[in-house]
Amino acid sequence: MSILSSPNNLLSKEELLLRLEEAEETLRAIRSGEVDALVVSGTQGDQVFTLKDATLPYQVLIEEMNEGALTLSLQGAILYCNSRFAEILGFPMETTLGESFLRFVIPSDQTRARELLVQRLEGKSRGELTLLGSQAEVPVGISLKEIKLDGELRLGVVISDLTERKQAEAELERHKENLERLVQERTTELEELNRELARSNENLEQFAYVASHDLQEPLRMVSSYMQLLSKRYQGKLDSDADEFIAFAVDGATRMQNLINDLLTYSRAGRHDSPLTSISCTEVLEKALTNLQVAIGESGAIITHERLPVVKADPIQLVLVFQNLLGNAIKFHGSAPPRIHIESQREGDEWIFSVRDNGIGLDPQFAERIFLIFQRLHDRSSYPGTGIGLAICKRIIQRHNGRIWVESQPGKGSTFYFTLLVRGTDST
Amino acid sequence: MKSRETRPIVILLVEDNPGDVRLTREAFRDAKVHNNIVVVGDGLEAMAYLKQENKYANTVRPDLILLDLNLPRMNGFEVLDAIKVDESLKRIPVVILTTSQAEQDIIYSYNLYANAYVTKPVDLEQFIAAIRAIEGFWLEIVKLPNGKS
Repeated sequence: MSILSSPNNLLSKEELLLRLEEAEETLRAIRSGEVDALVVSGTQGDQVFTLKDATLPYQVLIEEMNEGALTLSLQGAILYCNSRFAEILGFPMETTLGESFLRFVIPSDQTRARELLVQRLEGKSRGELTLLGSQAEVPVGISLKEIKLDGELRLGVVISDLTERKQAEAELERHKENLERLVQERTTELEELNRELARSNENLEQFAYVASHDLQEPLRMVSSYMQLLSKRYQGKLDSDADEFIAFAVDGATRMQNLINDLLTYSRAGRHDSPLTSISCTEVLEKALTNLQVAIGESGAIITHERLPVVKADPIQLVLVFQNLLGNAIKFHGSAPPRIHIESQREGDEWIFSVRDNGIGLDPQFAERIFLIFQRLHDRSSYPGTGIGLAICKRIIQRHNGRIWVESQPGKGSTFYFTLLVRGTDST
Repeated sequence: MKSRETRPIVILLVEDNPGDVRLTREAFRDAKVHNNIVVVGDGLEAMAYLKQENKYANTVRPDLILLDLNLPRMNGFEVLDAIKVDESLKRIPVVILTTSQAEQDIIYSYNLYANAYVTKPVDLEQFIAAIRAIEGFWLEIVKLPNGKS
């Protein structure tokens, strides 16, 4: 401005026109961006004026952004790229400028890269490629758009580094595979266990068959001939002989009972009939009918609360009630047996209790009484093989329930067992 | 009934256990019907007897067969099957007499057309009662085909 405001110098018209032309030329250059700075002579000497380009914020953005940015010729030559692009590849910028973009694409992606460059829909295309970096292959997302620059059609390209995302995806995939492998392993283990269980059940079946057939044969011989002996020679031998025969017959009879109980036990866990919805009141009534002789002889008084409908094997559940009630009657004290049955819902199961006023038992035997053929008393006081509670336990376990006892000697016993509200069969 | 009075009823007992043979004989001892118990110890012998082979060429065809299941060489099921598929033997009533109470044995026996299935009771009195019942039913009550038919 001081160019024009020199009051001391009067200039000719030609000189003024020339200066005007110069000024207009400078302005045009400034506007077109050809000039960054301007040296102006004035009264205080030469002054440098820098010009802030209006596009500077965009330049900063392009250089500093996290994406690679490029300008390509339509043939794919890199006309411009920002430093981030060079950084993604791990090459210095000098080696990328002027190169063909395709040089930085891995061989197997060449066709796809060419298609991306050529097949633009409404001037745009977008996709994923793997670039060939100096250290490693770099998976990238690429977005491409036609732009007009200096009157020429170019391709503006933005490239995002997908390495981390791909790594995360791969990690996720590995986790998934790991998980799948674990599930597979567990499944295999379970299948193996199931097969073992099936084998063991088969063995038990086999055993039951042997017990019902082969074991009974010799036993029958012992007992039959002992009986024949006693029948034919009763009184003809001395009293010792009669006693010996009586013991032998008794032994054989007990053996027979054991074998039959063992058979019952082996059948108790079987899944012969499916679980059905049954009223426990009806089950209890059936058990009471089966026990009516014992109830009558003992004068037992049996009471019960309202009992639920459950999903169970009806025959097996009758057996459970029958055994528990039978025990409560058998192990009574001096007073006639009083037995009370009730049920209570807790979470997803019913807890049944059978409480008696009998002789009770020492808590240290609470577990043992559920084992097969375990007895706490001599046979003359309380007859039986000791199978009843073992059968109960096996049946309740088949129904995915639990069974236990709470008792004190002389204070009666309470037997508890659980059944699932939504009854399920054990495998 | 007349023909039966003229010749004793022949019972073929297929049983390998001498103890059981003796018990069965004891039980039949007081039978009302005059009977003749023939004993063979295994399945092959039983078939040879029924087909009147070799040393059995001149024997009488039995009126009733008491068949144990647990037999050496050829078991009771095989014997039963062989009898029931044979045109000339299938009318002879076969009573399975065994210790087995296994359901599968009972079903299998009837599937092979056993005429009855009896489990040998352990108790002597019951055993005798069972044999008496067999005798009473098969030898006195039912009408059997004439042996020659």
